[in-house]
Amino acid sequence: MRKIMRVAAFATAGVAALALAGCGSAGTGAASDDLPDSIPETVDAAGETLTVWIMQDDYNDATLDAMKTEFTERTGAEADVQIQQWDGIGTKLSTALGTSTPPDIVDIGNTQVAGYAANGALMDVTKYKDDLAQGNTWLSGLEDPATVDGTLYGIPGFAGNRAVIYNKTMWAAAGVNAAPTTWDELTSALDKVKAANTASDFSALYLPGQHFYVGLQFVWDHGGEIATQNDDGSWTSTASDNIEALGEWQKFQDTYSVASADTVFTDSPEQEQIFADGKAGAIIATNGSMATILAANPELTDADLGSFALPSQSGKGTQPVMLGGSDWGIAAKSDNQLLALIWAQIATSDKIQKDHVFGDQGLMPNSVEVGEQILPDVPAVKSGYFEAALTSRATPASPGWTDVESAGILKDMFSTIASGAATPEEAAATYDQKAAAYLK
Amino acid sequence: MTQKTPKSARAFADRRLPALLLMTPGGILLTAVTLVPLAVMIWMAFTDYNRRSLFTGAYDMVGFDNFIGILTNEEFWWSFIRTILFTAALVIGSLLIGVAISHLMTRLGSKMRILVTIVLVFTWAMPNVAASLVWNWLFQPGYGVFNWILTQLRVFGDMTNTDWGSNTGLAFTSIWLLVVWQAVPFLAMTIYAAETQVSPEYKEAARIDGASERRIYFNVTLPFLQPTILLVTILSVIWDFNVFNQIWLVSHGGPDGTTATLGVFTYITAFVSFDLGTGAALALITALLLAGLTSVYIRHLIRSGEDDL
Repeated sequence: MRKIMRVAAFATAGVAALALAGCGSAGTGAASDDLPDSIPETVDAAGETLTVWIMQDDYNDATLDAMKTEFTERTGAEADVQIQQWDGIGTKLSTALGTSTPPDIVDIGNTQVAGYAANGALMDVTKYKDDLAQGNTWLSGLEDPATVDGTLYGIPGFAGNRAVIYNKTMWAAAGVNAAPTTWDELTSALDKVKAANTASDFSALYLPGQHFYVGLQFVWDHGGEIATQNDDGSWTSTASDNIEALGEWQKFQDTYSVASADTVFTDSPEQEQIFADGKAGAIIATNGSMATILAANPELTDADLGSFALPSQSGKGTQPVMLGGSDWGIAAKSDNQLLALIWAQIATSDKIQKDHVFGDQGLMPNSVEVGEQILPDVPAVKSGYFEAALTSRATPASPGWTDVESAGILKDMFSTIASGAATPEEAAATYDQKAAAYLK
Repeated sequence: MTQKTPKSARAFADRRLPALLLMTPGGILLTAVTLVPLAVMIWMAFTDYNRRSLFTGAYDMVGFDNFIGILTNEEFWWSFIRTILFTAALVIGSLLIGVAISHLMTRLGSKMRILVTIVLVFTWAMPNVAASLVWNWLFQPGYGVFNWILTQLRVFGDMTNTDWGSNTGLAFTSIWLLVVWQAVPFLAMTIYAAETQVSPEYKEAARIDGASERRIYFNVTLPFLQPTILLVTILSVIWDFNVFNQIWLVSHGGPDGTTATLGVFTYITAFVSFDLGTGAALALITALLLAGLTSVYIRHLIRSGEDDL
């Protein structure tokens, strides 16, 4: 018996030693000391692969193919592009960037990049800024969240915002022939559409209760903020100062949207599908959604769609929209940082921005100069977006904002208000209490 | 059969070495996949590992701070109570339905019994992630089939637009239905196997004495089933305590964390807020609780082995 114990003990010790030795490599990161001072025009990296993570619906196939072709020409390496879903991306990205074999370059939403930049997940690209900017001035809504204490961690990719997409044909049949430019015109137009379509599952404007991007617009429209930065650099959550705006949000959502929309987000069910099926007279979405709608219902054409910016409730101008968009982040622990820099340079080049980001996809370019160049070419059907972008705001630039979005507490606040499960006061108080822990 | 203690190295090589060698691959796998992560988790519970530590490797040892933080956190105690109540509801529900179905199967003709068995096996075999996704579609506000059926029954009024995931009571009901639906087959078949072993002579004797079928079931059959029922109850408690997939996929622990049982609470702490130190401490507490429950099961198993049932 004793012999067995002895042998078993040795065996276990041996195995444990092996296993522990195996997991000892915590990964000290890539050999970033041998990177050149500026991004070269070509490198010879034949046979290597660059892993690129793209968020779903950010870049379409045509754009990605153009980027991949130019990348292979310049480096001889292949780019392995992987599309990621939005649900749970915070967890997935944090764990992936923490391993010793992370994806080399990732496409992160500009509202989330601050968290990763502040926590050391991304490579410091300050010294490459001029090479990457290529003579342009980046949009501040994209560059600011990626900059921590003057150090640049992300490269602006493109900007986008949300406007109202409406079914011109349906609205004309209800007696509305021009896009509304004031809040009163909007409500009277929606009332007419509602009166002309009486099916119980029809929404004059389908607005999911969790659609916090639109909810934030109401807060900003009334002059408030969702969070403010104090003098000592810390952040305070200020949802409770915006009860009137939240009440207006609830009234608007309740009046024009079906009850089944109260507690869902835009993707389940897909609001583009609901619009394409004729169950909604209008939705509030990014301009990429126009292509999704046309694909979902081949009988609809560009002539059936129109867009306009949501008018301000103050009577003048449009509601401030959230400047969404994405930045490229290079993983601090990546082994292919030079290749990643070349990819980023290609993705932010004038050619890709003009021909593909704007030309193919209709998104807003990442810089002021290119934005001005393309202004004359904006198609009429998308004019609402570019008009809306003139009054844009960004989510709080706090590193804790990433966690606020991951935890979904903003979605919870707006959806409980929309469904009536809590009054605006109660929901805002709950949200402030939880957000305080993240924003610090 | 007597086993002589091997007195020489040769005897050892003949008798014990083959056994040890055969166990080594499994032993290595077990150590790597279970013991090593467990050791890392125990170590992490005493640090303040968080998102920044993931990227930079920097952390501090904080002793028992994480545990004190958890035990003084109101949310933890609510989650704990929720877990106990929900586990109790799940176990009682699946047990009652399982016992009923098992008794039903003893009364069916062989064709129907085969049909019921097939249905039960398919239900049990369906992966619970796929089942959760289908459940979400069934209960979707506006388009869910289940909502439509309930509306047709005209008992609860118009349920078409109810969002089961956004109301605590409804979310728990929906998850309870899902878990019990997939748990019943195992219980039903195990208890059925035991019920077929009840000797018909006792039942005959009771019938001759004038007992009703109900008396026979409660006074003759159930006492025979008692050991099996005890066994599956302990297993059910352990499994239902650990339910994660169904809760996460149906309600994400919401609304506002009110359907977050211990498992979901730990996941949110560790992998959404990335407070890994606290998450590891939570996992350790849960593991100790379950170890206590499992020891009850193992003691029962050992005792029943000795008792010649």
